[in-house]
Amino acid sequence: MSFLITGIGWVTTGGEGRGRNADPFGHSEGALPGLTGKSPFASRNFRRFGRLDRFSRLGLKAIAYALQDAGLDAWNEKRNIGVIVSTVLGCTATDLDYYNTVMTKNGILADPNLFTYTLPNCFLGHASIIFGLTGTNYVINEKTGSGISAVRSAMDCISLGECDTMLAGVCDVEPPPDFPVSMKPAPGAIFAVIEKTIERQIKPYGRISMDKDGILYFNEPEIKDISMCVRMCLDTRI
Amino acid sequence: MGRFRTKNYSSGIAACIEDLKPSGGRSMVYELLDRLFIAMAPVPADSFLITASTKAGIDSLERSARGMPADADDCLMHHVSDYILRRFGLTGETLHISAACASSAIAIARGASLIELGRADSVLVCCYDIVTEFVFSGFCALQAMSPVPCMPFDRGRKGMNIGEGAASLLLMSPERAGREGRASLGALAGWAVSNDAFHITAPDMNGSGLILAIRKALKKSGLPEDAVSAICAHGTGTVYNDSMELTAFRAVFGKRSVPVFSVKGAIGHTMGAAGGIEAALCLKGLAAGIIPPTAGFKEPDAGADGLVSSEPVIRDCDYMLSTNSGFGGVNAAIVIGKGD
Repeated sequence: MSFLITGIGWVTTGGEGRGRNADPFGHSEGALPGLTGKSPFASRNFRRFGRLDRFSRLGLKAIAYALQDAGLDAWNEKRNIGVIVSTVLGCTATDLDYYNTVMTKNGILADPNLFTYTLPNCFLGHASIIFGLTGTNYVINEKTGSGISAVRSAMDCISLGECDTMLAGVCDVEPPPDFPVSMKPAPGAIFAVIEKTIERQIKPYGRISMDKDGILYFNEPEIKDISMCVRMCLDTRI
Repeated sequence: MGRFRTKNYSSGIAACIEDLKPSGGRSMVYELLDRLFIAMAPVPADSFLITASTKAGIDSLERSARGMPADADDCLMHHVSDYILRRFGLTGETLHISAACASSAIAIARGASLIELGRADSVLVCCYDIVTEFVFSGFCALQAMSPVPCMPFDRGRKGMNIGEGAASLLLMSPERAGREGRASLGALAGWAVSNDAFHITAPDMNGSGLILAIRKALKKSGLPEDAVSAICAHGTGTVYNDSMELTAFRAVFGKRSVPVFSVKGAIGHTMGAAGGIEAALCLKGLAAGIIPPTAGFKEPDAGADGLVSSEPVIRDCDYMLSTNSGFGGVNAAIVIGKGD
């Protein structure tokens, strides 16, 4: 199967932004940029952004950049667009923050808002509301944080006719400092918009293909993770 | 509820499995899975493993946060899944899905998709979730919990009770099942996932997201609407969920009275495991010719009259529809057919 990559967006240690803006990109250890509600939400007036947990703000912002890059951020009617994201730690940091509110006074101060964000798919719900997305959406807990599982699943959705457009990506915040998990993924969120066909005036970055063994290729070369895919997209930038 | 103190919470009720507890600093989920697998049929080593849960071994995070011995990695699904891989000696690929209370229905759908695409011919789907203070306190804080045993589709319903449980389903292509001489317990005829794009914790009361999922699942199955003999609803017992579901079912099935049942009055809301457990119960219902009762249901809510029953109904059914909806606005629908 083979589809088009039409948008890329990210918030990573190397910077934040989107492909067609030539914004800086780099996915490695380090500190993430501040997660404020400024662009890409400026036109959407998303006032709740500051109340979301850090994991949700990170993922939501990268989704917004990717949709903007693909020219799909504006909408009038809800659309059959899906989102699948891979994560290593998910919202473990939020889990700890929430559980601290439980422990403080034996449950009396348990924070309902924080509890909501202990489900890692909640930011996909926010993305769906803000951008009118009604397609297949879920989170994959991945061991490596490559994002390959999300890309494969998204391509399968398109192949089976579930959606014609999918967002696939990765999202992980910094590991909680005082919590001894063994996994330490590079923090950041990266999303790609994958489409079966395009009718609007936009030139795709290239073709993403998957063979019968699930190996992914961008144009010709094999891609091992979504960061590599974004770098290749940037190399072919229009 | 004897697992933790509930004095400060709005409910003291949850459906817990007797004697389920952590051992040796490990999460309770391992004990739960051990019990689940006692009666599990042999699983081919090359099976693709898909797991589903909302919070995996979150009890280990609780203990770690309280300074007690715990393996922090237990709260990561892929870590728990390694245990399942070792338990069955599996060498195939893995996938771990989290989508609130629709997690396991989506896991089943994904397994079916992999088989349809020819990327796997044997998929083991395991779903599980446990009752912890972490989750219990959260739903109480959201005022979603019932202080009495939950009453799905009842006009006096006061919310849900959480429960714990697990299910494992071995999905195979017909060719593989035939080669291995395995009887089919049922067939996945259709499946779909959707999002309300409406609210994070409340369903769209016009049922638009669930309607979309059901219609897509039916379209995928190629079956007409009247092929569905009964609906295993999400039926949490919250005012909003049950009302939204009845609206969605009416929109899809019109004036036809399709029996609706919820198992959550009997086993509680098992969260990420709900869809998998309910699919297994649908298979049992189809095989036995029984539409399960809705425990806790007494006085029908508007629109539930004649659809929901507190008694089992003896009826030979060919297909059941099972639906789940969850936080984040996610909905899943699967159409399950009768087996051999």
